[in-house]
Amino acid sequence: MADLVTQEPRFAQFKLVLLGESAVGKSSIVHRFVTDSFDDLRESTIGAAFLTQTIQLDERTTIKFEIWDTAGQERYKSLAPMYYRNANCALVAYDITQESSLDRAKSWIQELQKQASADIVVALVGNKLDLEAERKVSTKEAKEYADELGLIFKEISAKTGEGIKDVFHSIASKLPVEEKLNSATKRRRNIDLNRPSTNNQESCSC
Amino acid sequence: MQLLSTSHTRWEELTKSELEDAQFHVQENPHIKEKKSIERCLLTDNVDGLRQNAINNPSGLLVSSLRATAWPLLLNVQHELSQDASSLKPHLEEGQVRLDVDRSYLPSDKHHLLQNVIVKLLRNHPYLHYYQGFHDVVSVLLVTLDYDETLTYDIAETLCLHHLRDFMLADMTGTTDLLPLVVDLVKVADKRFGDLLELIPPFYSLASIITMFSHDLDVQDVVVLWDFAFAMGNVTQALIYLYAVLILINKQQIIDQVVEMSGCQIDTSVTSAPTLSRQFVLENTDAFHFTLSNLTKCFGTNGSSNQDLLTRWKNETQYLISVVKLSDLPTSKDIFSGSAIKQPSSSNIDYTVRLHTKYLVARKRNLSVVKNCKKLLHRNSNNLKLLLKVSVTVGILSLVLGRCLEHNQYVGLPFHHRTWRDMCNTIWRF
Repeated sequence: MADLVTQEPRFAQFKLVLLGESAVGKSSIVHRFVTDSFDDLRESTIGAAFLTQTIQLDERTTIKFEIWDTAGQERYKSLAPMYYRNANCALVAYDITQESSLDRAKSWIQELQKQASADIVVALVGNKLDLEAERKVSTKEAKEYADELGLIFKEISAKTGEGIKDVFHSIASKLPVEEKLNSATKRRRNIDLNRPSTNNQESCSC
Repeated sequence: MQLLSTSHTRWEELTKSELEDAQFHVQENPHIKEKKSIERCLLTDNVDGLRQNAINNPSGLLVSSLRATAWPLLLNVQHELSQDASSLKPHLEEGQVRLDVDRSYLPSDKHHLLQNVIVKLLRNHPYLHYYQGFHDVVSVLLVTLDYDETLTYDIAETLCLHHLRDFMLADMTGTTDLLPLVVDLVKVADKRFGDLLELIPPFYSLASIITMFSHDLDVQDVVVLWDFAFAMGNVTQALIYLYAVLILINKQQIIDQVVEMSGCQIDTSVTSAPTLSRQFVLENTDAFHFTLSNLTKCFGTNGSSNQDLLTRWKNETQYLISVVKLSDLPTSKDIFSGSAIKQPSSSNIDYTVRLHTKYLVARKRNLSVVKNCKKLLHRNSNNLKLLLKVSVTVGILSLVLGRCLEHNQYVGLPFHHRTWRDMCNTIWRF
């Protein structure tokens, strides 16, 4: 009986926010993840863009990411709380060929620690691994920082696709799937209790 | 009216061969009549006539060559003496400009023109701030004006100083203060739907408005909207009203898509705004935000041609502008007096910046006054508060009980037959 229960397929969705300095490749990372493609000319994101992607975490667990890809210009910073508020996870990107972008990533991480929900899963990723020859940020420096704060850390390349799946899988495996399933069931139950028995069938509160 | 009489005389003056020529082209090219009319307006500096053409023609001012002459007239562009960028101090945001220009969709051999125009603007007006998306605006100008750098600069400068300056202030408040106007407008036309939209942060319209729709529409559609917005005079106002109408004409598609994204099992053919609960909206703000920010993507996908959609969109916007004054909208009072939407004729950017700074300081002070008052009240009124709470609760309870007893359907029914929801509904009916 217990075996049967554990074999039941599980589905949970989580909100992910992408943060980082302008032109570090946030949109390219998310496009590689969602469409497995890369475009050398990816136009600047204005405000924010929304995408979703579903992954199979293990045999019975499916995770759907609802991704908010934000604009990198400092000017749009004041809009970010709207996107990271209620986010379950954050991917903070920097460019391994731009030293300043790691500082910017660090300040995003600080802001998340102060302002976002306490249990947010944060990944620090160094993009543009394909430009190894132009590297300015050492792996050691960024990894030490991430380890110190208990963050997921990966160096990736949106261009070649290296490390992209890994990083989203690492995030997914740290997400509280069980908790999410329980809270969803609870919520559904509450709503069923409140649902009126007659009329109003068109209204939806699920 | 003026346009009609002008065109009437002009047509009479045409020679027989010109008439034949024109008739031939009317069959060949459906726009030839409009084209002639625009050309006549340009020849006679008839700006009112141009406005009528730009607003009423389904394809606006038709072609780039006409726009190159008409846009400066509509926007009252003055060729002001601006200094060469190389003789001026670099602007702090030029690095960001470079990042966006490098990723621009323009052909790579034209990137330097985009860079030059923006940098020259920023250096000549150091109080202006660059925003990601402004490069999209300048790109459309360059493409439409056949990469004429000087003309692009002149028009871009007028646009910045008169119409887009709220988006170029030191911070985003100048921009974000304008966005709730969209919901105000939706509420005027459709109160229930507007009430629901009010639950969602208004930033979904940001990208479309600050890029003047150039971020998400094809250039040939963008320029028709720009013809319209330039002709309306107050460009910022036109952009806001256009967005509100876009929401209104796509209301059902918005609801359908959000319902689909939410995963709810609802028959969308019978779902409308009144049946959506506030709770549903609050639980699906992301879906609403996404759907509302991608409305222009509906273009050409629901059977009607782009031109029909544009025409309807423009007509309804023109109507909305004519019947709803900006000052009638509740949010209007929260917008600083130097805003381009309130004073499109002022071009003194230093003055605008000063007004905005003053406004922000005053707003901050008001906020802290409110906070202090609350603190003061809190400190001195602990006893008072308890008394107040008790009396208000007793009052409400007696009212509710009184009305419940009056309500026949509840009298005589055993309590378990009345669900909490029914009770709440009764309370709600007050």
